[in-house]
Amino acid sequence: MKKERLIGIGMMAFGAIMCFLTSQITIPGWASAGDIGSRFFPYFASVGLILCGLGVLLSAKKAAPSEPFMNKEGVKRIALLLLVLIVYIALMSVVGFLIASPILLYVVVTMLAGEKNPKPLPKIIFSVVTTGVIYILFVHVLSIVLPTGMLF
Amino acid sequence: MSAAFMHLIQPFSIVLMIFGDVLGIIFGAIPGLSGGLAITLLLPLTFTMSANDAITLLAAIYVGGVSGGFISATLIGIPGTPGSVATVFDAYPMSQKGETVKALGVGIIGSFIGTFLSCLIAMFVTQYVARLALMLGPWEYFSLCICAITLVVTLSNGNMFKGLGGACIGLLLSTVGFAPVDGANRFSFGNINLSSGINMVAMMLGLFAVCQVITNYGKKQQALPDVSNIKVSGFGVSIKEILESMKTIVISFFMGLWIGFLPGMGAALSNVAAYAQAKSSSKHPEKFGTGCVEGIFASEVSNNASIGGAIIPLVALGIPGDGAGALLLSALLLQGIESGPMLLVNQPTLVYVLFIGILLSAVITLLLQFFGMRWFPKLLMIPYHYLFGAVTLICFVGAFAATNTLFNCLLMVILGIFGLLMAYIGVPVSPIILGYVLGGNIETYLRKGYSYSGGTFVEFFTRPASLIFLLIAVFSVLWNLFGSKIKAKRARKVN
Repeated sequence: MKKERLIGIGMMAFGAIMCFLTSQITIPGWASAGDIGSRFFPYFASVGLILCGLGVLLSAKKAAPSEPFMNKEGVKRIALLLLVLIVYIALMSVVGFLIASPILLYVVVTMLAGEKNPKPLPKIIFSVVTTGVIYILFVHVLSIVLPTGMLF
Repeated sequence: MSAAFMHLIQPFSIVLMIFGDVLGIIFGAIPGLSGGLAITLLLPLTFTMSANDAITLLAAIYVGGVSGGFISATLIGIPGTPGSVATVFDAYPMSQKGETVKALGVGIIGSFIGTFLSCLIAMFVTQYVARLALMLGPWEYFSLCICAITLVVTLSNGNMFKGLGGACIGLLLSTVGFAPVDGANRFSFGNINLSSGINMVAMMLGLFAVCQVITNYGKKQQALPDVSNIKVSGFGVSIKEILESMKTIVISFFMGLWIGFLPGMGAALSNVAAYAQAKSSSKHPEKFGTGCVEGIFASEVSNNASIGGAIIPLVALGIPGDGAGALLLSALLLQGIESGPMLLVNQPTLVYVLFIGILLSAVITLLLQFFGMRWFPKLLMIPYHYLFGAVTLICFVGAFAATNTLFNCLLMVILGIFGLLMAYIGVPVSPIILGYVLGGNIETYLRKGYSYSGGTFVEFFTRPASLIFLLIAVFSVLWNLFGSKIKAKRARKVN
């Protein structure tokens, strides 16, 4: 019940913040008279969010005890995976797609496999081949550019 | 229409359809993946294609995805997509009794009937709906969109306030960037990458794919059950059995068609509703759940009939009936094509490519599934970590390809975290997506309606159709809030 109340309050708070940010929107000088302006719709949605948050707050009932969404260990795992993904983006900007991606695949496959712990060689082959296939498909077949990084 | 047909029977188009069908079936069959995810992953690929080719491919994936869900439902008792939940009830027991092939056969035929016939009907009905639609103005469209989003929320399980809140969040997300009409720069905080709004590809990939990978990893959900000892050979269903189930097939078909047509509801609802109806009207309700042919037909015919049903408002009004429809709409937007009732007038070839593409894809799916039946169990043996590792990489490629900026990849990851947060607080994703996809249109309709009326909101309420839609929306909210209490009062009065 407490969590539900907090969620309701959180929604209302977010709606209030959006209202404030909406008031900060600069309207260009050529806005016409018969138009409601570009602040109306964000206000409309923000107020709606506040009302919904109120609804969540007021209708918060004691819920049956259920499994927690995620335990502490899960949060740590997620944080680690997110870190890997963000490092990958940074890596791509430095060394480019072709080098960063096999590394990403190897790391992610190892992380996702968990206890199964496959041998290194199949993972290396998978990482390199998959990167290659995707590279050829996107760059040569579909003419879509992929990051080349600062070194190339 | 003939131009569309000529386009589709070219070898390249056939290859696209086969590829799309296979991909859709694979994604639909593996629990954790879906046809919608496949469409999302391939959206960036469609940038460099022509609009006709893009639609051909994506429609094929859509068809394959809805059809494929019954495969894992039958083989491992887990629905591949929400549209095949009711299929599990009878297909899995039938498979366990040793009649796997029969169960698969019924699923394949049911899926085909649903898709093919519903699409035929859609082809003929859409033009009339579109003509009706042209009589509507921005007031009616605004109210219709509001009504659609409200219905999505009120008709689904879960906290209505959280659902509506999610819709509001979606609307706010859609306001980022330059505003319609006067071009005010909203919520971009000086970041030039956000000035054109939150990128749709980053949104879809982040909220669905990345979020799923992260969540599964955090919850350690990975293993797919062992299917190595299932053998598949031969066909399995007799014509007699099909004819015996004909009444169920027909009723389920029309239920699926109608539910698919209504905004906000689609295959996920129709399969369960049709199954419940078939069971309650059957002379042998006790057979349902033990592995009876009618049960599988009810579920699979209706969920595929929803495809045709959903295409009607998608084409005629530009309003998607479900998530996959929203993705098809995004694909059109990415190609620079405006959706809405003028689509049929401005781009008739494209529309018929969609319809005939679905028809042909249904046929191709039928053939692929009959001849590919023995490989189905192998699909489910792909190790999770390789599969989702590849999916992760494809997400990044897709996000980058959309805007040629690594910022978009970062945005995608952030939206993935956002999706996780929404799941944690219990706000469902569908209303967020609907609010985001429709938000731009809704605001435009609101502003146009206001200025066409000379600067007043009155006409939103005085025009009959607009008023009706708004009343339906309000009524559905009130019913959600007080309906159960009213029903309880009536029950007490009876007692």
